[in-house]
Amino acid sequence: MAEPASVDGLRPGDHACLTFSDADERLDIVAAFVRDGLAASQRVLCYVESSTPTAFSVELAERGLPVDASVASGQLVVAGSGEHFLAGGAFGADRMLGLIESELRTAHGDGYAGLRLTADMCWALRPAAGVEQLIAFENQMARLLTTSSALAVCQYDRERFDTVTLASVTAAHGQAVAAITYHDDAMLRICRQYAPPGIRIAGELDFRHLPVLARALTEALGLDPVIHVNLRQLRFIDGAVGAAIIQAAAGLTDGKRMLVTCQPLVGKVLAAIGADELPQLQISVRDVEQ
Amino acid sequence: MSSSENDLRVSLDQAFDLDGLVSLRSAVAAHADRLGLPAARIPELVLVAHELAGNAVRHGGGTGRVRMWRDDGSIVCEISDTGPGLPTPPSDDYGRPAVDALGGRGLWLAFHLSDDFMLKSDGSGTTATAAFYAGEPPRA
Repeated sequence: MAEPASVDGLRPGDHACLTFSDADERLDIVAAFVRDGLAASQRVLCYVESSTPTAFSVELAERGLPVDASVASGQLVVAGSGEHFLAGGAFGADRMLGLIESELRTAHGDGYAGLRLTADMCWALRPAAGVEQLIAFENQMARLLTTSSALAVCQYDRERFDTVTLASVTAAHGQAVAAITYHDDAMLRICRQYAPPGIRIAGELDFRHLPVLARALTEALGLDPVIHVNLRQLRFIDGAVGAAIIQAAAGLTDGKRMLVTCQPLVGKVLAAIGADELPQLQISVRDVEQ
Repeated sequence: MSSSENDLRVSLDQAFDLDGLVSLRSAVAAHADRLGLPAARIPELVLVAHELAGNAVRHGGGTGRVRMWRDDGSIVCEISDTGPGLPTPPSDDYGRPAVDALGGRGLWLAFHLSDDFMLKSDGSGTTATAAFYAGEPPRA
């Protein structure tokens, strides 16, 4: 398989695998996939497993997606994975592929430009008959999608699937989708955030990381007039790094803005070095979520 | 200053360099907790220690030493180096640097977040001492 693709680069015919270990990152990529489908006049089907359809819809809405209107119009459908993949208590690859072909025809019949599917594949970990057909199903899905106006992102939780199954399913996908990552080690992760657009930084950030932070910030500032700097999982920041963030905000002109979400200590540091002086910068402090 | 012999016993005393800043932060947090600093203030002391240690590794010769102890009602953190000293003598005037200033935020944060801050510097090195009030000492 080629290098991981960015979610906003996926095209009709693509069958992409999203293997994740960070729930926030999975949701971010899935939300961007849904958002781009709604914008492209495609019907979007989301099959969820680790959260309820209602909780998932709330998460999408919090990321700025027009969930209520899209559900009401029928463009967006959010449903449980289990009820679809394991209808009648067992999995049948042929039945599921037939269902997807039928959804594709219906989408065209309803006037949509195509079909986007994304599914939490953890249903395959349930003790149900037929789950051994998973790899065969994924291979058939790849063939079905190739010549169609549909595209799919299949979500696999790296913490829950065994490595042999993960290797087989990723091989059955033409693309792997992942967040652009600027830094990733035990202490710090800096990656692109897709919905809403910006960057996400988790762990501990200090002056030694200024060059990589500058690169991530510079790329993010070109994405959108409102840039989101998600520091909710950031435990430590120092004055030099805080200064780099607020200086990036200070350089924003033409109505561009930066929104920072962070924990109380990070908010205190940013305020102490002058964040409150900048009209382009809005800081939203939230307590740690576990 | 009234302090018992027990209070002044040094709890932490270790050398650090650039690669040791992460472990310095976790050591300072653990000792601040052990010395009785309220949990809500521990991250502030950790930040101050990091800023002062960062100055030592960048401007004070590349290495330094951190010591912590309890002095009566305060938790004291001292960061020293044997570098060339500050280019200008320390003053008590720690204003907040402008948003576009290149540096100077470390000393400002140390002064702003601690309850008592002292800086001594000459040609043989710099010693910064930050104290955080802990309230009543923990019961033995």
